[in-house]
Amino acid sequence: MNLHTLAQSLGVALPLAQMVIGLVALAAFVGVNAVLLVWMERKVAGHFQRRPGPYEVGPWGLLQTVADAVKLVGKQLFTPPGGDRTLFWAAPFTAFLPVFVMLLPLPWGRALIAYPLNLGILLVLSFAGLNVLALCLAGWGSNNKWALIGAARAVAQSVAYEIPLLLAVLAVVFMTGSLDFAAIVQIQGDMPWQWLGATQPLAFVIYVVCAVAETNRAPFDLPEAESELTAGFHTEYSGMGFGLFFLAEYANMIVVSAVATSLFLGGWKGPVLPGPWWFLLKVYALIFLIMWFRWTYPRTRFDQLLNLAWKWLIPLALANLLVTAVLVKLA
Amino acid sequence: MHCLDTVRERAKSLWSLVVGLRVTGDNMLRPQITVHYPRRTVESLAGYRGHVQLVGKADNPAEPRCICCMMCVNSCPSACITVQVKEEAPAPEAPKPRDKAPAAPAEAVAGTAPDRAVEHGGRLIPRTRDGLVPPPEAPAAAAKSAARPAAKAAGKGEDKAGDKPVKKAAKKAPGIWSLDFTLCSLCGTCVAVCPVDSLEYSSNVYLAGRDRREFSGMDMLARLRAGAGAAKSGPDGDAPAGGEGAA
Amino acid sequence: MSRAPLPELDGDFYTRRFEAGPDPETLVINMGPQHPSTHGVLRIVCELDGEYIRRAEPVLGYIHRMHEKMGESRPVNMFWPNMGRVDYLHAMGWNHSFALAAERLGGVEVPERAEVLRVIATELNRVTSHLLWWGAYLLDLGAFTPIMYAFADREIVMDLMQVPTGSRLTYCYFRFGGVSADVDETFAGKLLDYVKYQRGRFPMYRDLVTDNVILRGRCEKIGPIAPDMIRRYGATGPVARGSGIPYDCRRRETYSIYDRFDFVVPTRTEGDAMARYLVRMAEMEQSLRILEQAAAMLPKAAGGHVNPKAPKPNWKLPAGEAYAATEGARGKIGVYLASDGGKNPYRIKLRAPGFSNLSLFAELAQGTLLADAVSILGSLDLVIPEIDR
Repeated sequence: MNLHTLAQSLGVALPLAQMVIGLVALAAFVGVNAVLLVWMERKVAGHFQRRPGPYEVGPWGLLQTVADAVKLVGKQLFTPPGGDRTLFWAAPFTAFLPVFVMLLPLPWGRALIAYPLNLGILLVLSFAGLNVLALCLAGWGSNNKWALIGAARAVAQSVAYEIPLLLAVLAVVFMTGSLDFAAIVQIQGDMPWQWLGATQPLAFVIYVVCAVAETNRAPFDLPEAESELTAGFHTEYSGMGFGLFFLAEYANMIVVSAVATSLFLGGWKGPVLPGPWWFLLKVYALIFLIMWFRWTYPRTRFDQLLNLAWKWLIPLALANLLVTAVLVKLA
Repeated sequence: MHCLDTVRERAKSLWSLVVGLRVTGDNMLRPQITVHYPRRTVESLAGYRGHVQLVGKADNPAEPRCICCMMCVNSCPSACITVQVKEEAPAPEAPKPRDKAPAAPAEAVAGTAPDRAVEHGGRLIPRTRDGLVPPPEAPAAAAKSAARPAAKAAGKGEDKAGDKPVKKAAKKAPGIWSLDFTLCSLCGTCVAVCPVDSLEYSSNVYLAGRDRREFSGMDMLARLRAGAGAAKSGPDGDAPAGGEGAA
Repeated sequence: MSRAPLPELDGDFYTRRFEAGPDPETLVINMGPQHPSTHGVLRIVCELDGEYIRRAEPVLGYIHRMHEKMGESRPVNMFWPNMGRVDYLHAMGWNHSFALAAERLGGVEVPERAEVLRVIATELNRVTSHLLWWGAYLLDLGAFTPIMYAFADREIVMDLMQVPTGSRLTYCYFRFGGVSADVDETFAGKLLDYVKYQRGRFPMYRDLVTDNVILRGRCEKIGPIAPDMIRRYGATGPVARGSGIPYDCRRRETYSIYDRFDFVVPTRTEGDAMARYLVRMAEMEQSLRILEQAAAMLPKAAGGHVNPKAPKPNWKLPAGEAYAATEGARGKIGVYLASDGGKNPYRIKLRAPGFSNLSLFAELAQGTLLADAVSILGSLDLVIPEIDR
C-alpha cells in the first residue's frame, strides 16, 4: 500500500495527498522545532554569558518552553482599546502561516519533498515578504505609538534587505540554471568544496546577512528593539498573541536556514549519514551561527542598517551577479 | 590610495566582528560562574551581615547581655528597635502607665508588632523621631561612659561586660527586645554603639518567611532562648546565640 | 535644526509645552518612566518628526525620596544609610563627601589608615560603578552579553567589600573620623589579586566591544558636547573630561590623601559618546593603579580605622556651614552642611552630578535620531535616584 493507492482509494489526486501529508508533517516539525529552538536559544545565550540557562524544568530544562507556552496560553487575551481588533489579531497568524508554505518545496532528503515544485525559489521569495505585512498589521492595530515606530522601521528594513537576498539567490540560479530546489541540491556534491557556497562565497555571505535582517534578529532587530522601543511592534501583545510572534520568529529562522542549506551548503548531501540528518545538521549549524551573532553584537542604528543594505549589499550582490553571468556565459 | 585605505579600514572593521565572535565563543567553552542553588551553595559568606541579634551572657546564654541603656534604640536611623525593661517587682507607687508594662511582653512575644512605646525614666513614652535622646541620670551616664571603654578593652565574652555594676540600684534586663526588620537599613550603628557588646549580626543567609509580620516584630529574646536551647542540645537551623565572635 | 518659535499656550507645564503641539505632523511620545533604558524612572517627553527628535524634555521627580528633608529631621550620624542609597552605584563617593563636610564643620581628624581605607573603598566602588555603566550602556545598545561579564567582575568586588562593610551595594561604610571597621591582613593580598584579574579582563572587553565596528557606529560622533555647553550646565566627571575639560576634584580640590597617589586624569577632546566611553574605560585602569598603591600603603598605615576621639552617636554639629566635594563616578559630588548647633542639621544640600549632566540633554538631543538619544543618555551615565534624591 503506497501513497498512490491510498490516494486513489480516497479519491484525491496524488499531488494533493502528498501536499496534505507534507503539510501535516511540516507543521509537526515546525511546532516541535520552534519549541526546541527557543530552548536552544536560551541555553546558547546562557553559555555565552557563562551561566546555565534553564535547567530546572525537565532534563537540562528541555520542558521550559512547554511550561512557558502553558503559561502564555493561560494569560488573558487583551486587545488594546482603540486599536483595530481584526488587524490586531490577524497579525500573529499572518506571521506564522507563510512559514508552512515556504517549507513545502525544500528537499529534506533525496525523495523527501513535501511538494516538488520547479519554481520553488520563486515561491519562497514571494512568501517571504508576507512577514512584513504581519508587522504592519501588528504595529497599526496596537494603537500604540511605539508599535507604530517599530512597524515603520520593519517595513523599511524588510524592503531594503529583500533585494540583496534576491540577487544573491539569483546568482545561484544563474549558476545552476534552475529554480527547483531539488535540482540545485542534486548539482552539489557531498564535500564542502563541492557545495555552491564554495563557488559563490560572496553570495552566501550576503544571503546570511540578509536572512538575519529579514528575520529581525540582532544586530538588525530594530523593529523589536527592546531597549529603545520597549518592545517594538509586539508591545501590546500578551499571552498567546506574543507566543505566536515568538514562535514565528524561530520558524522563520528555520525557513531561511533551510533555504540557505539547500542553496549553498549542499542540502541533504553528505557522506555516511542519511540525507535528512545532514540537512538538519546544517540547518542547526546555521541557526547556531545566527544565535551567535545575536549574543555578540550590539544593534545597528536604523540608518546604518539601511545604508548597509542600499550602499553595500546591493552593489556587491549586483557585482557578484554580473561576474557570475559573465563566467557562466563563458563556460 | 584613498580607496585602498577605505578598503583596508573596511577589512579591519569586518575583522573586529570576527574577533568579537571569537571572544563569545571562548566564553562559551569556559565553566559557568553561576552556582546552582539550592543544589550547591555559595562559599564566600564571610562578613555577611544579616539582621542583628542578641548575644547571650557567657554563664547564661539564654539571657542577653543587654542592660537596657537604649543606646541602640536612640541611635537607630530607622527607629526599628523596641526595648522595654523587664519589671522584676511591681512598684506600688508606680503611675498608671507602668502597670501596662507587664502585660505588653505577652503580646510582643506572640509575634505581632509591638506598640512603639519605650520605657524612659520610669514611665512609658511614645516613640517619636525627635527628642529620643534620653537625658540619662548623671550617675548612670558616668557609669555608662566608664563601662564602654572597659567593655571594649575587655573584648567580647567577658562576664564583666555583661554584669558591669551600674550606679543605679537595679540591674536592668530587657523584657521586650524587638526588631522591625522591615525598616532596618543594615547600617550597623546599633552593634557599634552597644556598650556591652550585646548585639551581633546573624549569619543566617537563608532568612525567609511567608508573611511580612514575621519580620516586622522579630522577637530577639525568644530567638536567643531558642538558640541557647539548641546550642545545648545540638546545632539547629537558626544561628545559635553567640555564634559569631563571642565566647 | 532651526525651528519656528513655539506658540504660547495656557495651562501647566505639560499643556503649555506639549499638549497642543504646533505641528500635526509630529509625534509626541513618552520615553519612560517605564522604559528599559532610562536607567531609573526618568521620563523624557519627545516630540518626534519621523525618527528625528525636535524637542526632548526630561521630567524628573518620579523617585524623589526626600533625602534632604530626612537630613533635617534626624541627627547627623543617622544620615549614613541615606548616603548609601542616594547613588547606590557609587555610594562610597557620597559617603566620602558627607564625611568630609561634617568633619570640616566639626573639626574632626582622620587617621592615616582610615584615609587609606577610604581611598580603597571609593576607588573600588568607582570601578564597579563604571563596570555596571559599561554593561548597562551596551544593553541599551542591544548587546546582551557584556553586562553579564561585567557583573561577574563586580561579584568579586562585592565579596571583597562585604567583609569590612557588611554590604554589597548600598555601602554606609564611612563614619565621622574614619570608617566603621578595619580590614584584616589578607585584604591587601586579595585586593591585589583582584586588580590583576580585572586588568586581565580589559583586553577581552576591548576585543568584544570597544573595537567592534557596530559599536563604533553607535558611539562615534554621537552627541558631541562642546566645552561651552559643559560650562553652561555645570557638567562634571567623564562627561566634562570627554569634551576636553580636565576637571577632576581629586586633583583640583585635593581631599583626603589623593595627593600621595600617582595617577593620570584621562581626558579626550572629541566630546562624543565614544570619547566619554573611552574616558571611563581609562578611568577604570587608573583606579586600579590607585588601588595597587593603596594596597601597598595599607600594611604600614597606622592609626586605626577610626579616630578614637570621633564624635559619639547623636553628635550635635557645631553651628556653622561647610561644603565638601569629591570626585564620584559620575562627576562632582557635593554635600553642603549647615547647622545651627541643634540636634539635627539645619540643612543638608546634596549636589548630584547627574542632575547637571542630565540638564544638557534637552539641548543636546535636538535634531538627533531616537536611537542616538538612547546612546547619548547611556553615555551620560545617569542614575536617576541620584538626580531626584
